[in-house]
Amino acid sequence: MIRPLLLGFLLLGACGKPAAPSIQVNDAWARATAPGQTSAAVYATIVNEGGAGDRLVAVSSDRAAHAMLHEGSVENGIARMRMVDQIELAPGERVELKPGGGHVMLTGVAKPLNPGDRFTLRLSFEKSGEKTVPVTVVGAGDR
Amino acid sequence: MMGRLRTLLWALVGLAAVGGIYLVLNPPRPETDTAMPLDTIGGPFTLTASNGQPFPSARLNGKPAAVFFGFTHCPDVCPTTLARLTKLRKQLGKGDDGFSIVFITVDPERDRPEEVGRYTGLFETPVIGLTGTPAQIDRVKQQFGVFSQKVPTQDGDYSVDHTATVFLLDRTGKFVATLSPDEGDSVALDKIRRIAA
Repeated sequence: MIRPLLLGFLLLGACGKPAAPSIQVNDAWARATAPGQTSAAVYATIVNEGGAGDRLVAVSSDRAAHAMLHEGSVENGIARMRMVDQIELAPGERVELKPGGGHVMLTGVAKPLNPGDRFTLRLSFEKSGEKTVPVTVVGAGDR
Repeated sequence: MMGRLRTLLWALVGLAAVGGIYLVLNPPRPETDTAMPLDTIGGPFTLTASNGQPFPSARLNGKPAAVFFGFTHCPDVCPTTLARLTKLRKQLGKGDDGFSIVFITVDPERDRPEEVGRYTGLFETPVIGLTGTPAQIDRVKQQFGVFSQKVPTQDGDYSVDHTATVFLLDRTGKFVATLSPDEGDSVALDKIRRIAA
């Protein structure tokens, strides 16, 4: 019962154009950091406008020794931060990396990020390859 | 008979192992502020200001205060919460006198007065940054029912899981309400208006 249905879908899929993800990364920003503060968070909006899913699998930046994907959460009033290996982007999905939630964690930030600074964030997607986006640094209390 | 006993004993060993693994994976939950009766939260304390001088909590008296516990190596929740408090204070419309914003580190080993001062100095509006000896910080955490725990990170450093609740104190330093990260700004502003009235 399931099998012919699945086959039908596969055939249907094969008739049209091969579905591909289409990834856009917008509005990447970070808060200013204090001298001596070696970690920072980068936020951005990632949209997959394509017909196939993709995954964000790695990040790096010219201002930090390391960059990783983090998921922030507040459970029972307690804020926690944990590394995640990847972020899934289903077809049509919009993922907001925003304060208090998911973010790109930068560590080994040698120089403080000052308001108005711009630096680059590279995001590697499993299918779409590498995207480089500018990150704007805003004042600590600006957003 | 012996065979059955042996099976039983092995079953017990297995059970103990499973129990052990369970405890490792699910350590007993730490107590949070929700477990504390409200009227016991807070109370006087003395910590160290960012200029290195003692800071008795009585210095906060005269206007309401919003107290947040965090650490300066915290890139997300801490600056986000402080940014939110500065925004709320602006919306309150009474200038910097509306209420004091107080940041108390839960990471006194790394956050000396200088670090705390630089961190709170990032905001273009006054934020009082406080640290202390680990024993002093532990005591204040206990007074407010604040939990914190160091978590090792991959690069050999550590992060700190910690209570993200903001404690609102009235003009006399008495604890009156909390702000949680997930309640809307209008709800938060209402609470602040009530104590700042």
